[in-house]
Amino acid sequence: MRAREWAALALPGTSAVLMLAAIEAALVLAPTERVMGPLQRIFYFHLSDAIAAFAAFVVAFGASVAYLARGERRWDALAVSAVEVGELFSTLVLLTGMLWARMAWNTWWTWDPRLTTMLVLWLLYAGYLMLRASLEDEARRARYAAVLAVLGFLDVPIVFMAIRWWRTIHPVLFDASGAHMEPAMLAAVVVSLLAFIGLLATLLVARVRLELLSGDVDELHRRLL
Amino acid sequence: MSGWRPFLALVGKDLVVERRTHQALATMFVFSLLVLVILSFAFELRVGNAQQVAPGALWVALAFAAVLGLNRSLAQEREDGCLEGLMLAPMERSTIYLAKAASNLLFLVATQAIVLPVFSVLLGVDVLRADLALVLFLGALGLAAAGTLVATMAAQTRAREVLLPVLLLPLSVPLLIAGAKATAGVLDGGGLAGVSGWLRLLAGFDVAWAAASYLISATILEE
Repeated sequence: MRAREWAALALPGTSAVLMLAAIEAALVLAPTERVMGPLQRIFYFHLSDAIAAFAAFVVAFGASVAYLARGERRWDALAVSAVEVGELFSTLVLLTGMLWARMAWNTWWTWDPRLTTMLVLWLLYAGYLMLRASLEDEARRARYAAVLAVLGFLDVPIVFMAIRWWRTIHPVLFDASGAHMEPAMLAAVVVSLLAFIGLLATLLVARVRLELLSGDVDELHRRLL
Repeated sequence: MSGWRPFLALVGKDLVVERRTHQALATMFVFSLLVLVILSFAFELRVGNAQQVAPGALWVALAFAAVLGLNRSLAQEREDGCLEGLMLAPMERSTIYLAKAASNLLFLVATQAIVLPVFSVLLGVDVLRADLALVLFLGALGLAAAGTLVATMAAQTRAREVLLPVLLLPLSVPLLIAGAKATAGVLDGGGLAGVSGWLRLLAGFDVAWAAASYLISATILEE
């Protein structure tokens, strides 16, 4: 293999190793939580997954702003890729959260600010993907999608504040005084966070490449016909 | 042309169309009524006190009626290339947005004015109050500001009318929460002072969406 091919494998390879380390750290190395028992171990993936989902939506927001400013196709490709990957991660956040909530709170779902905001976000970006799917003209699709991504993202803090005025039962683990947990648990959090960010980056790179290639194929197809 | 004249001309055009067809107001009114009737059937079995569901029923009806009216308003511009005609006219593109938002706001407020007395009668809850009118106006303003922009995009897609509720309702979550909460507070007798936080949220949503939509509308109305 040539150097470029090795380089292309570096990111997925690192992510895979990190993911294995995260599984080891979360399921084996971290101590068992006193109240919830082994059940609490889903937390490492739940939190990392949630942060990766938000990171993806932040990337989508940045890429959409860049597209509106520059009008270059690659920014649109990055935006749609980030939204798709973010939608995948937020689906996983909702699912792992439900599993955990069923055991810890004895309910699959509760209208807590964070849960509700995540669900609204999920719906919002589902709308984004539906908007893209029903626009054929590329320039218009990119522009409308970018507008929706920017406005939607700016709407999220208002959504969160509005929902927050109801009561919350979601635990707060990090505040101004630091992280409220054992060092071994914190290590597991850090490793699994790195693993999920690695997974996010791997999926994003692959998806952007796919988007650009499919754009090229469309272009060639048009030129041939 | 500059200043207010093109804006007033565009709003006037929508009013003339409405006077001749009676489509927007009639559909929005009948639809809000239908939502109310359906919600009454749906809740009747379990909820004894209409006062408890009144704020929710009111806001569900208004939000869905707004979706209906916004879709009509922008679909009408798409027919016979009307929007292209407007875009060719010598005026700022954002004026088109402002005028459409203004006429949508007028239709929303008019719908509320017709629907509220019927609500009061059917639900047995007095919703014809000055303090509630302010809450409802702020809600209509936000729905018109955000909705006109989103409806302009939705009208250009293949999915058309289907897309507007899917895009607009998640964005309007803060407005719907604040509106329903403020309405509940006012109906419970707390007065406007008791719900000032929710009113601020409503007003903030309105200002933010009006400003953002106005600034970005020229991007939507390109080509």
